[in-house]
Amino acid sequence: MMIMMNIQDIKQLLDKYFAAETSQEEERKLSAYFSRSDIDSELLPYTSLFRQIVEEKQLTAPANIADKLKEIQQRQHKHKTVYTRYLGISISIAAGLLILLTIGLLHKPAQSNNGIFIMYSNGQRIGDPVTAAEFTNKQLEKLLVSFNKASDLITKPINTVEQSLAPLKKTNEQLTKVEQLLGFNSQQ
Amino acid sequence: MKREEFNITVLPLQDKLFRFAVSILKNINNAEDALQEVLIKLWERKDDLSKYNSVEAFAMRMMKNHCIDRLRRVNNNIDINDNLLDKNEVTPERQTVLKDTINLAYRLIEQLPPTQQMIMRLRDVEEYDLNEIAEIMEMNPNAVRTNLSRARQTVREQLLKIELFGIQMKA
Repeated sequence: MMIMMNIQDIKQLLDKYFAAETSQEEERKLSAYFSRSDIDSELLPYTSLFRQIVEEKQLTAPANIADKLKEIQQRQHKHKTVYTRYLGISISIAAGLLILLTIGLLHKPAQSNNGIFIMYSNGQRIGDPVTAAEFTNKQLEKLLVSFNKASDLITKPINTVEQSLAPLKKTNEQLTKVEQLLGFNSQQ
Repeated sequence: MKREEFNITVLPLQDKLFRFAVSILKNINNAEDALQEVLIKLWERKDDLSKYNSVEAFAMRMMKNHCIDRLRRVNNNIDINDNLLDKNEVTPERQTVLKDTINLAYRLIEQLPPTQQMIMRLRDVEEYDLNEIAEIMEMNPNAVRTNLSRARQTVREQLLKIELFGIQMKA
């Protein structure tokens, strides 16, 4: 199509272009014309402009430019995960307590009028006192395991913080010594 | 806007944002810094992005304002007014870029008032339509057309003058 365009068409398009009346499609036609090697001598002065535009389009951002952003995104994602984890632990603890409460309330051995033992756990009926005791023990063991896991997850970060504070404590002690020394000197 | 969506929507704009920054700041290193900063700024505003009709126009506008602020900070010892952008001073940084570029049209575009330069590049290099440019430049579309026409006409007149009289451009 481009090859079919005569010089008059190009001139008309150029006039439209300089009056800012061309469409993007027409501008692309001009760009294609001026990228050719057989440009009409009358139109040669405009070559520099259209080739400059093409050249500027080639400039791209450095490959690693978004690294800093990705690092920030990663860090925020990590924080969010840790937060969600602790939220999960808190929910587990709360759920554990709720179970304990349920056990406390529902496992209360009910002595029926005719002396038969009945216990309900999560809607399940347990009639035998021995089974009931075993069941209760199992539930309490599970709860204990959950508590241990949760406390491990919480104490680890606390230990890390304490470790990082250790040098500060040392500095503080040394500062106190310096203060004492200075105090001693000023008294003299 | 979630991370995935943000990265799909915003990261592909980095070349356009970078070219726009280079065209305003006239310095590759500063443009790189500006791009990093604008990408982070956009990320910080990720929850607002879905409110905008065009995230791209919003991002480009943010880049324009960021670069102008940067130029103002650099030029804080001179009077800051609305015409700052239209002061067509040739700073040492600009001179380096000018010297490095032998292309005549580039030098002619660089001598246009900054607003006209930006509009001409947004149209010719980035191929935005006039309404998008109006949104980026915070101008009305008619003013965009007028500026675009003036910019192109000036470049045309200079090109023809050089062709006719062989006038040497001052670098």
